[in-house]
Amino acid sequence: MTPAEKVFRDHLERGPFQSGVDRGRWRLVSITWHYSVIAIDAAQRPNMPLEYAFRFELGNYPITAPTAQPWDESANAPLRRASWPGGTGRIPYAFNPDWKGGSCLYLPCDRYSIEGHDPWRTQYPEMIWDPKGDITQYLRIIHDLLHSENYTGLRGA
Amino acid sequence: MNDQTIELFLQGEGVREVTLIRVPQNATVQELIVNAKQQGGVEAPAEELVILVEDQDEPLPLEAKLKDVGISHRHRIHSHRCRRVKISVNFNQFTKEGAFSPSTTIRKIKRWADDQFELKGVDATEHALQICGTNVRPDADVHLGGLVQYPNCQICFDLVPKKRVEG
Repeated sequence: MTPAEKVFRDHLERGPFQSGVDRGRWRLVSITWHYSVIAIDAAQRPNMPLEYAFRFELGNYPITAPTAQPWDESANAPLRRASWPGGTGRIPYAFNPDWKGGSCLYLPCDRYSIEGHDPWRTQYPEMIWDPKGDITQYLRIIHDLLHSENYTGLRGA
Repeated sequence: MNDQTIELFLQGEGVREVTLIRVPQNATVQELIVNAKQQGGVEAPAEELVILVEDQDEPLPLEAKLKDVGISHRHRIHSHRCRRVKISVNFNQFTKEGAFSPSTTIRKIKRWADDQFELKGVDATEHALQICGTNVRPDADVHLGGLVQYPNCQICFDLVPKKRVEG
């Protein structure tokens, strides 16, 4: 087990992650290092998913920020674009399947999206990855988006 | 963990993140305070601390057994010296003030602020509480008391818009 995986597994046992599990905010699906799939609860919308899974790439965790990709848990494959979370306001910006081929979320806490976006460090300081923190930094941001009134359900619905 | 041990989600004075502690299920509230200091890092003399259940106002009696006051596995508790925390929330050049138990969640404070400023629906979900003079937006599960240190039992928030990420 690499040091990064050891730290990640330790973080999953700690209060912040377990508190979210206990509240039903997220649940661990799998770990196949250096990836982990975590499902995150979504606000209830008629005939829409109750949660979305994301595959996190976690190499060099937590020193380097994770990146997250919407994931089809049953097929163990990238989520098709019509099944990405959709809505208005902040939602289509963060969950944009056209950004980097749908390989990551358009968020300042994302490893790949922060590249070339240095102004984000001052524009969105509350969403910048902190290497002293844990995976719940990223999970909370996704959970908040999926509980916005601007979230309407599947992108393709 | 064994049958005689339970896990509790602890927050408190000097404990900003939720911390998972393990205590004997037949422990008293007084013994829980000792555990909160040892395992949770609550920073205060034990004799000055109280234990509160999340979002409740009244401290638990020190001599009571945890099971007799309804505390069981994975319940959420708080340990602090402040009995009440005064808050002020700024929004659009107006300020609203209130006082809450230190075990009050930011989730509950946010709902109170939304009501005070009559924010509903999208307006409510698209604003967040941010500690004044910082860019810190405490998570909904964070207890108010984790953000203040006795004897300064007060805190100020700005109600700020959540910006969409673009550019």
